[in-house]
Amino acid sequence: MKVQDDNSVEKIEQAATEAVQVEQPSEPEPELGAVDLLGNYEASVNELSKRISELKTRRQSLQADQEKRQARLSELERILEAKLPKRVVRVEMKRLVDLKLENAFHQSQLILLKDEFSQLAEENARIQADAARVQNDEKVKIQLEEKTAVEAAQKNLDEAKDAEERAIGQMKQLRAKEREFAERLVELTSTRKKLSRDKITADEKNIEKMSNAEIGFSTKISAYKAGFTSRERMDVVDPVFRDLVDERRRIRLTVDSHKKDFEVRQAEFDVAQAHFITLREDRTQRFSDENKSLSELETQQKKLLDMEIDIADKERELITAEYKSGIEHLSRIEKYRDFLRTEIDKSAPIISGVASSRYLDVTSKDNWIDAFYGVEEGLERVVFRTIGRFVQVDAVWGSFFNLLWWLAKLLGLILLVAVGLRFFMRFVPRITTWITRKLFTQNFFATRPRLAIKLTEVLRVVIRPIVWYTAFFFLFDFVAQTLPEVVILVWVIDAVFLYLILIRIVEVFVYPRWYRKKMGSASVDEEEDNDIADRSADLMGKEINRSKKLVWSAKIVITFWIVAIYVPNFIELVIGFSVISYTAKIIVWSFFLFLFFLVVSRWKNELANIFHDIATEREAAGADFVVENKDKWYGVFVIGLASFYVAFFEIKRWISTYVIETEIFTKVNNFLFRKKIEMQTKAKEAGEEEAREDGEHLPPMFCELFVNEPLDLPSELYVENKERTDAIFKLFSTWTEKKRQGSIAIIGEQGMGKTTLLRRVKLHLLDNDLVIRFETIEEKRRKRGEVLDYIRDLFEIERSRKTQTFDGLVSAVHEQPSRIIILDDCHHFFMRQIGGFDGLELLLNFVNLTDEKHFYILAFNKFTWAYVNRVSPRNHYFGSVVEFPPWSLNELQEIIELRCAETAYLPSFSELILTHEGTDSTDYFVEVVKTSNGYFRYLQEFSGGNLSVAMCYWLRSLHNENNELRVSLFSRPKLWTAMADDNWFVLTAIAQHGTLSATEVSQVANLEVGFCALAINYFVEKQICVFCDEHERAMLTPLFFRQVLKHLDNSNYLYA
Amino acid sequence: MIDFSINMLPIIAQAETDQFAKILEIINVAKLSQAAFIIFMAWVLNKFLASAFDKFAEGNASLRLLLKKVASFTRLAIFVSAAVLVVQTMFEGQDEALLGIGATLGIGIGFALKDTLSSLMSGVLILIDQPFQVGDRVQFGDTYGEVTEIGLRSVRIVTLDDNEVSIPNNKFLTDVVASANSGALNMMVVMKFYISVTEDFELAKRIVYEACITSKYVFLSKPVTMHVRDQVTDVAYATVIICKAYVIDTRYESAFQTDVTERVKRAFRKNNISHPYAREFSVRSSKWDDQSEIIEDPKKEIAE
Repeated sequence: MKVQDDNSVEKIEQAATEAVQVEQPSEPEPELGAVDLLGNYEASVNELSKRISELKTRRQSLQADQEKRQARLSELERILEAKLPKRVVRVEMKRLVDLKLENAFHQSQLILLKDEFSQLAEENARIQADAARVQNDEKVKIQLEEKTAVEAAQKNLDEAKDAEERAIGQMKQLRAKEREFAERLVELTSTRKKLSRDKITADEKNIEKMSNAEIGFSTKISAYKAGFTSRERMDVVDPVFRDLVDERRRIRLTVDSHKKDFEVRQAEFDVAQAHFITLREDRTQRFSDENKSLSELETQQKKLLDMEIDIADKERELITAEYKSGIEHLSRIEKYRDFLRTEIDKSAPIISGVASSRYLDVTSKDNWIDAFYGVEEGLERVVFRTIGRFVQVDAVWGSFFNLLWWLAKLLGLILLVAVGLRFFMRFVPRITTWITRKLFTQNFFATRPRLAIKLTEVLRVVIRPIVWYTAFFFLFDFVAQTLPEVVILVWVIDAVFLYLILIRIVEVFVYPRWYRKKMGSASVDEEEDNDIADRSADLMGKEINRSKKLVWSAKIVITFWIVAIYVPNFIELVIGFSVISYTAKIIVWSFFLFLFFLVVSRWKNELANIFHDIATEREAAGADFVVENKDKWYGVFVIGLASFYVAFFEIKRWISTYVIETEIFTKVNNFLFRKKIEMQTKAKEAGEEEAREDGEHLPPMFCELFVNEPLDLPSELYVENKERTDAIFKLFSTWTEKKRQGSIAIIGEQGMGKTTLLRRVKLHLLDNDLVIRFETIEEKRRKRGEVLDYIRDLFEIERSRKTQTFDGLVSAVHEQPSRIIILDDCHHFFMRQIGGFDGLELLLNFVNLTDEKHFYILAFNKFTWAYVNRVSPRNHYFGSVVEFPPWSLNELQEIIELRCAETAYLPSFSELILTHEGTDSTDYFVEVVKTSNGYFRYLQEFSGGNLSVAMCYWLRSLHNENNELRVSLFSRPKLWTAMADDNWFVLTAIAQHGTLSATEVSQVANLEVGFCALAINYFVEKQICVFCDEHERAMLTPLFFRQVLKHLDNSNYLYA
Repeated sequence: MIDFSINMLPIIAQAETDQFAKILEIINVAKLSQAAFIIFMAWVLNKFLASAFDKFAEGNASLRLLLKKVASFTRLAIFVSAAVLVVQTMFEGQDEALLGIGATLGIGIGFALKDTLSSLMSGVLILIDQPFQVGDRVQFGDTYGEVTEIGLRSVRIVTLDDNEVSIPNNKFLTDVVASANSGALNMMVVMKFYISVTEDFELAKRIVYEACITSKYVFLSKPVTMHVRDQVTDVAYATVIICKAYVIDTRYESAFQTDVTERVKRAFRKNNISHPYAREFSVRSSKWDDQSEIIEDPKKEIAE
């Protein structure tokens, strides 16, 4: 049964499979038509196949079940055969039955499937029949179409074959080209790279060489020192300078070579660029439509074109890279070149004259080549820097908005400056007024109002330009932060403002104020201005012309000065130190001659006159020659020479007046002299000080010649000061002729020689027939009655009712024959107390009223006269007031030497001479003279030209050594200043009155008599004062005279 | 909110220890010694310079005021420099600490010594602005005298009674101060003399004038001016002679007035010029027997 089942299933399956297989070869091709029919057919076949496969699956599962059941049955049969227990058999039997039932069920199912399969097979047959029919209908049509298509395809095939053959040919060509391009690219890359590598290596070597050279130069230059000798310059600086110049020449060639390379590269780049552009345009034209499908050939052509473009681009890039590399290297070379140029400029001022003349030799071709190269280099630098700045500016500003922001900031700054200027300018008048006030509060300017006014005027005219200058400087400083080259403009501004300010200052000092107001550069009250202008126009015409000439000259000189400074500096800055900059400097300074010519020709009359005044005494012929020839064509040169003469004498005079003859110069000179000698003789003088100060060992007869006493004339010891005596004699002559104001007051410190001068005058006037009365006032006569009595005695007038009064006495004196009255120590007619002026006032009135009839010479103490004149001016009472000036150095020296010559002693200055080894006798003599001059200069300065002080200290300088008088430096006793003020008032009273007793001092200083007596005794004990007569009047000693006066002057106690 | 639990205590203790260590680092013996040395040197230098300036100025009246001004500035400069050096020494390398402690001290001291600091700043302003200078005679409120010192805290004025008055500097910024000589050594002194209206005022005026111009204290580089006017005083109808003269040195102001007054009174008595008192009185002195100061009238001579 089982076998049967199996066979049936297999048969069904086989049948189904065959059916399908039979149908398959005859399946109509979809291309041949009857699409719908075929579609259905296919669907049916598919469905059938599906059903068959399902059936197969079911059959397999059934077969599997059947095998299982078969196996179970076999097992059961075995069990049965093994006679198993009944129960098990029953169960198994039951199970067997179930299986048999189930098997039967499956059998039935298989039958059903067989039926179904049969139906399907029928349906399949039907479908196949339909399909065959449809296939027969379409076959003819398909064959026709197929034939047409085959013919067309054959034709196309032929054409395609032809095209393929052509394309193969072109493709071969393209491949060849492609290979060629590839080879070219490889070659290009490798060649260029090799070249680049070689070049880079060479450049690196060059850079290394330059760096080493730079280090070498820097090391040598850093070894420079200030103050090279000419030999050192030749040995040290010149070789370095020469090497620098040579190196720069070598570098110049290198730079030229690089520049030529750049030109070649530039040409190559231009070609490559043009080729690249052509290729790109070609490609654009040929393959503009990217969406269009391309044939293989076209694709290949496009690829080839792209490749060619790449090659051109690559070539261009390589050239650019080389160019950039070259630029970098050139930049390094240029830096080195700049270094060389800087160092050349730095070394140029310190090279030797030989090297300088060699380098600046205008006949040398190399120098000119260097110079022109410097010009080229300078211009290049300017251009490069300008371009660089634009690039930098672009980088800084970056965008339009940044530029706008920068401009806004600049505008804001300008506005700020403008507002600041406007604000400040409003305060300018106040500031100048404030400064003027401040100036006048200073003693120095208060006593020099002209100077103070000039200074304030200068301030007024320069303050505005200075403010403007500051504002401009501020703005340009801001711009220069972005564009440093603007600094050059600052030079221009500097020059312009410098010119303006200097000219304004000159105008202030030269032009009168009203004239400047007229010009609009000074502020003066208008009415006053017009008034002055009208009144002064004619009078000041010449002065104004002279002022104009001065201003014109100043303008010329300042312009030249500015040009001479800025132009050569600018040229040297741009082109460096070379024969061209040197020539430019020479050319600029050559204009000095032209300038000199201009100025001198303008001032020739004035210069000729000055020269005539100065040189007439020495060179009368020369002076006349200048005046006569000044208007000739060569007159300017004559005047030029004369100008040098004038300038020389003016400078000499100026130095003498303001330097050599100044107190400070003398003090410094003497201080140095004293210190030098003190340092040398410090050790030697130890222990001898006291003996020298006292001068005990000096011979008495020698000391007597230097006692502080007036000379009895005639005497060989008298040294006359012509200036003083001539002034007196001249006034006497005038009085003799005109009988007017025959009165002279001689004013001087005590010990200056007033009495000796009066004696000298008396001696001189003895030649006249006039009666001479020479009186020395020894007592204080400060009461009117006392003075009237004294005058009566002086003129030998009897006391009467008439002569008891002042007017009566004056009348009586007028009736007397003319006589010469010489009164010494007239300060005794005065005492500084209430009513103390009466006597002096009466005397001065008397002298003033009678000096037409009689000739008076009155001597006063300087401090008394200064005081009474400060209270009320009294100089006008006299025809002349002769101030006794300090004795000059030569006069003092002559006086002392004359007195020394009277004795057998010749003081030696050998102790003061600074030790010099190896000096011969001539040198020694010169040293002695120099030392003695130095000593007397010191003595004169310390004594203040006071004869008694000088002689006192002269004696203190001397010491006796084996009967030989040796001069050493005198010590200056110090004044003990820490005294009570009243003590100083005592000294003030004594100094102011010449001599005073204790009682008189008490009246003058409003102090107790006892205190004054005690103070005077103390001063006498300390050698500050000395009693001078029987009235126990005290006077200052020469020893402390200067120290006391200095302290009193510093304390404002004493007027002088 | 910080949790100050028991676990935090070691951290806080550590922080305090660090802070303490920092303070110890700043304030150590070496630095304190250096600071003390700097302060001592500043003090010595100040004393030395002040003494030197005084000594030098003593014998030179014209330079006295200038040297006193220089001394004031020098003192200020020395103490400011010393303060800067001390701070630098103490806080060397401790910028944060310097800032912190400086700020703390600044605020603390600023509040505590507000007036003192105000005076200090005022002192600097006085030195710069110079409403008055050392040596000037100033009137400030009821105080009149010579300015002897412009210090960092106060201005010292020695009155005519020789009392030294210290006025805080900040007072001068708000109140009115009058300087009689404003930097000059000399100053004007006004003296008034009253005489009876019936007396010879011309003679009296001449006596006063001569007493002024012959005084040892008068400064004659500036004019001596005289004014005469009649005035109703509390006791009588009087003639007032006013003399305006300059004294050579401000320190002699009182002495000048005394000197002139003494001599004028003596001369008035000798010349029988009486004061405008309603009641007669007589005071005699042995000195008046001296006839030296009796004015002789030229007109009287003519009359004789």
